[in-house]
Formats: sequence, structure tokens, C-alpha cells
Amino acid sequence: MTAPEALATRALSRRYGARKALDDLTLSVPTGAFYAFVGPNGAGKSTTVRILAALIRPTSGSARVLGLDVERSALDIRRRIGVVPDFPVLFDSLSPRENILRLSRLRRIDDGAARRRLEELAAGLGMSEHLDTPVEALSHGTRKKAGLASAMIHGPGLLFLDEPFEGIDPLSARGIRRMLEALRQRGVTIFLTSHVLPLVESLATHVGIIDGGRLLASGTLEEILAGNGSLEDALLDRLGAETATPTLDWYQP
Amino acid sequence: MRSAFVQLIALDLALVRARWRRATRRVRGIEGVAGGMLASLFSGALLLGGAVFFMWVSVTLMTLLPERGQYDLAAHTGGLMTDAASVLAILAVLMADPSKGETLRVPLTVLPIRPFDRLAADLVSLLFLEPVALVIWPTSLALVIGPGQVRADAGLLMVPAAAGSAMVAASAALFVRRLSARHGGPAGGVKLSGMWGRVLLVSLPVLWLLTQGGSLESLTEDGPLLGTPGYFVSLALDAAWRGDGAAVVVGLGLLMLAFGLLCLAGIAAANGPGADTDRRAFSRWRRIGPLEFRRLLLTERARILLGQSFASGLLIMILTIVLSRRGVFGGETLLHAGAFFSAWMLAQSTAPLMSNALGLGGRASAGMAMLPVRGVVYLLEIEFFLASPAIVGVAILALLMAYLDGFAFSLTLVVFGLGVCLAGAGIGAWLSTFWPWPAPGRVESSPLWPPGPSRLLMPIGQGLPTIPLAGWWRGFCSWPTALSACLMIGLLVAVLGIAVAGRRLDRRRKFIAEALLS
Repeated sequence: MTAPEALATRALSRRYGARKALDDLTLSVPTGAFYAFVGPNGAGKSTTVRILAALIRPTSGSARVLGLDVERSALDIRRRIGVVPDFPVLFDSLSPRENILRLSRLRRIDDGAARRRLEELAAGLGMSEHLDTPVEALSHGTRKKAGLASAMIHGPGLLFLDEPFEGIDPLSARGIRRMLEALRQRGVTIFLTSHVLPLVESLATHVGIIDGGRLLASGTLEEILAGNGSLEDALLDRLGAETATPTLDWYQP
Repeated sequence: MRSAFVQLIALDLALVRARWRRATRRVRGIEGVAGGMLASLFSGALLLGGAVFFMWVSVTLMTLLPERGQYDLAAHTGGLMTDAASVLAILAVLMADPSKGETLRVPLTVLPIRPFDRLAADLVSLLFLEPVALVIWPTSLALVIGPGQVRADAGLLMVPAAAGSAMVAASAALFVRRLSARHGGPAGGVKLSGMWGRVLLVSLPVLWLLTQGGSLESLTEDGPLLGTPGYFVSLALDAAWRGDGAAVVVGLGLLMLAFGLLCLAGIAAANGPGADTDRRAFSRWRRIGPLEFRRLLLTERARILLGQSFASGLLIMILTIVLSRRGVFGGETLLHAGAFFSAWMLAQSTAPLMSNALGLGGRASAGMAMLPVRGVVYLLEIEFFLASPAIVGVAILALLMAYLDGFAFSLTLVVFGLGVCLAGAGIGAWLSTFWPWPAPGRVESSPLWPPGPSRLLMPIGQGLPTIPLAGWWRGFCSWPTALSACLMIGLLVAVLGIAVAGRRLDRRRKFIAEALLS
């Protein structure tokens, strides 16, 4: 018996003017899966996340998230998911504590409960000492962690994480990774995009490879790795792209 | 649990408080607890002040109407609005610019909030909480005075009309914000909000002039107005209307208005961008003229500033020419005042860039400041390039005025514009060494004006050369003396400013580089 789908798309396309960011994307992610969506820059990963998180509309095709249509039930979807998109999700002039507590009220979470959850999340992510510093004064990594805490505060069953490890130091990455492992064990479905392939490989149960807006492969981690030593090999194999090695003859230090 | 609408208003209030907190944090010695207390105090005072101001205007309108009739009422309210707009604008400018994310409420996009709740909360915030509210109310009240005077039976309808006008202005601001967020992109937001703000604000003095037509002597009896800019403007209009050669007062009044409007335009433009810095690598230092010109002026930042100023200048001139041809406000006097106002707009077009010469190019400009070039040469070169388009703009205007009004006034205009540009270069160089700020060429996430005192000190410094011209208008000195003095003051400020700034740059390169990188 297969697990019910947490999200599914059918012939999903999205255009930005003349440029096609997504082209006929059909994929499904089972409930409880840790789905890693990988591909080169500009492949369409962030656009997919934005559509699935009901932030933008597709040009054509359809997508269902937790059984709800992304175009018709955007508000219901936003209630039930958590998102760390590729844009800032916290107000610069407020501290993470002010941000998250105020945004929690908009999610109708009791103040006391939100405070307790925030303390636990901050400790888990190693950012307790930064909770009262204005976001604008925080490092890139701490902002990412604060964004993750904000996305998790209401305990969503489905998380969309767009490049959560981008610009993150190894120590912080370990904190985020542990948090994600804990979520996975609790059966939370996670849809993640990342370029940090070794980390992805250690976390993901399922992988999708996208390039030029088209899905090249999708399946369990084992299926994707078949015949390849690592996820990086599998990705390069699917992309089939080689870059020239520069000679740098002119370079005379 | 309170509704999303109430929570959104509470969030906006928290953002306003945070901006005050950030503004007061700059004041050394009162950081920490005192800073937090001040932040709360200021944010409370802002709300209270806004509410009291609105009530004051409303009560004034209602009590004065039966006593004085509509003309005095309009004049009184006009003066009142000048004061309020000037003071509130300075307060608003002192508050740090909101970032793009905050302005567009980007973090809310991932939350389950009904569009109606967001729309209603945005409107309330624009009308009562955000700095733009400080512009919307006085402007809206000004806009209804003209029609209110034309219709003798308008009476108390002016009050709801003012409220309606404010609502329309807030809706327009919201529409521009939403439109720019969806279609125009961040740069589109800056262009649209800046243009909207300027068009709205530039129309204020013109409408004001149109509404004047009688004696304002009774205004001098009103305590609250005495000695304030509003009193000054009212007196200027009164003196000019009586035709006793008090154009000097009109000129100075318009100059003060221009200063206030510049501050307000800055707020309007600041509704699009944010405060993040651009981390893109900067191209290597090129000291060859055309390339330097390209580096400084063929950027999105410069294009937006020049576009706004030139469009505003053109708009003012078109309005002025049309109105003066119809004989409004003495025709020639209005034409001269409009030309000066337009010249001021053009002369200060690159002022935000001049006041931050060292920070142009973002964080990578720190590397430029560390180059082994003498500070004076470095700043002179940059300020020259930044002043050049403003000078060209004034020259074009002078040509137009030579055709419309003859050589003498055209020459006055050229000297005025040149003096302002030169003073801008000097004061700008000086300011840029005190408050250097990394400003990238693209304005995707950064304000047009550098944050801090530069935005206030720059227009004041640029206004210095206008003093002798005002003296000539008033009859204190002859025309040649005024022109010479105007140019000399501009030159003096330029030479002194660049020399002092150059020495400061030589001595404090590391400090400046650090400021640009932090």
C-alpha cells in the first residue's frame, strides 16, 4: 500500500514574460517523505516552491497540496504549511522574537504556547542569544534559522524549504540538519531545494532532478542513485553537462 | 483571539515603534533602556500628534468658518498645513526608511490572511501610522481648499471632503504599492511612488497660489502661526498679492516650500526600497572620464533621481507657463517663481548622490576609498561628474527662460543654478566623509537618499547661495552684487567643502572603509 500524496502536480507550467520557468512538470510526493528537489541555478526549483506554497499562480496545469488545489484554496494551504522561501520572511526592524510572536498571532496561536515553542526552536537551532536582536543586524545564517523557526511555529505537516543551507556555516548547518531529522522522524513531509548535495543525500528519502523547468528524474533516493556513487554524480549524469577546464596561461602571480 | 485586522494594525504599530527605536539608537548616551523608552514615547507621540493635528484642523475649520468666511478660512488652513507638513516631514525623515520587505509587507505573503483584512489594515496604516500619512493629510486638505473656495456654498462640506481626499490619496498610495509589488518590480516601485509623491506635492504650492486672493493681515494675529514657515508663506503671498514688490518673500517662501517638498518627496520615494546592501563585486577603478561618467551616472539609482527631478521640473514649468499666460498671480511674478522652483528641482537632482560620493557602488566602494589617490582629487572628480547633469538641466531651463523672459532673468537663473550645484558639490563631499553609506547602483533594496542627517543638511547647504538673490529681490543689494555673491558663496562652499573633505578622507580612510563595509 502506498502512502497518500502530500502534494502532486500535473503538467505544471509557469512563464515569466517570454521565459518559461516551469515546463510541464508532473510529480508527486508521498506523505512523510523528505523530498529533495535539486538542479542547477535557474532550473525552476524556487518557482516550483512558490507555486506549491500558493504564493504565485501557475500559467497552466494544476497542483494539489495536502489534497487542496493551490489556486482555489490558497488560504487553507497557507494555514497548513510552513514555508522558508527565497525571500525574507521577517521584518528587518523587528527582532526574531517580535517577528515570530506577532506573526504567530496572525496564525491565531496563543501567546503562551508561541513563546514556549519559540524558546525550544531557538535552542534547537542555536539562536537563543539572537532572539532579541533586530533582524537587520543578524548574520545571513541566523536570519535563515529565524525564518525556519517562523515557518515551524504553528507545527505544520508540510514544510517547503528553499535553499535552507545557502550561506550557512557548518555549525549552523548541523543545527538545521538535526531539526530536519527530528521533523522527518515525526512524519512531517519536507520539500527542500538545495545545492549542498552531500547534506541532501544524508537527509532525503526521495529526490527530484529539474533542469530548464523540466523534470529529468524523480523517485526514491535509491532509485536516483542507482549506478552512481553519489547524488552529485547522479545529478551531473542526468544533466549531462561538462564545463571546460580553464588554462589561465595569462595568470602570472 | 483578536481578528487578523487588529493584529495587522498592531504589527504596523510595532514596525513604526521599531523605526523610532532605530532612529533614536543613533543618539549616543541614551542607548539601551533610555533608547527603548524614547522609542515608545516617540511612537506614542506620533500617533497622538497625528490625531491631535487632525482634530485641531477640523475644529479650526468649523469654528472659523462662521466668523471669517471662506477666504480667511482657506488662508488660515493653508498656513497651518505648511507648518504641520514641514514639522511632520522632518520628523518622518528622521525616522529610518522602511526596507522594501517591510514596505511591501512581504513576510505576510506566506501567512493565511484574507485579502480584505490586508487591504483594510494597509489603508488604516497608510492613513494613520506610516510616515506617508504625514504627507497625505496636509496635502489632501490643501487639495480641497481650492474647490471649497470656488463653491461659495461648500461650507462645512470641506471637512468630509478633506477626509475623502485623504482616503483617495491613501488608496492611490496603496494602489501604487500593490502595482509596483506585482508588476513594476522594486525599481518600478521607487519610480512610481517617487513620481506620485512629487506630482502630488508639486501641485500643492500651485493650488495654494490659486486659492489666494485677499488680505491675510488677520493671520498675523494668530499666535500658532507667528514666526513659523506657514506664517512666512502666508505673509509672502499676502505681500505679493498687494503688489508691493515683495517677490523676495515669495521666492524665499517657495524655497522653503521646496525644501519641505524635497523632504516629503524623499519619504514618498522611500516607500519602495529597503536598507539591504548589494554585495555584488564592483568593477575596478577607472579614472578615465567617460568611464567614470558611466560608473556614476549610468546606474539605475542615478537614472531614477534624474528622471524624477527632470520630470518634476518640467511639470512645474508647464504649469507655471500655462497659469502665467492666463495672468494668474500677476503672470510674470508667477513665471519667475516657477522658474526658480524648477531650477531648484533640477539643481538638486543628483544631491542624494553628491552627499554620498564615497559610498556609490555599494560595499565595494570601500575599496575605492582605499585607493592611493589624494582625497581632494578623488572627491573633486566624483562631485564634478555628479554635478554635471544638474548643471545641464539648469542650462536647458535657462535657455527656455531666455526665450520666454529675456537675457537678464536667464542669467540670474544660471547663476542661481550654478551656485546651488557648486554648494551641493562642496557640502556633499563633506557629508560623504562624515556619513558614508554603501549605496549600490541598483536600487532593488536600498533607499535613494542615504540614511542619516545628509538628507536634511544637503538641502540647507545648497540653499546658501540663494541668500544674496533674496537680498536683491528685497532691495538690499544691486543685481550684479547679488549675482556675484551667489556665485562666490557657491564657489566658496565648493572649494572649502571639497578641500576639508579631501583632508578628512586622507586621514580617515580606514574609518570610512570600515563604515562602508559594516
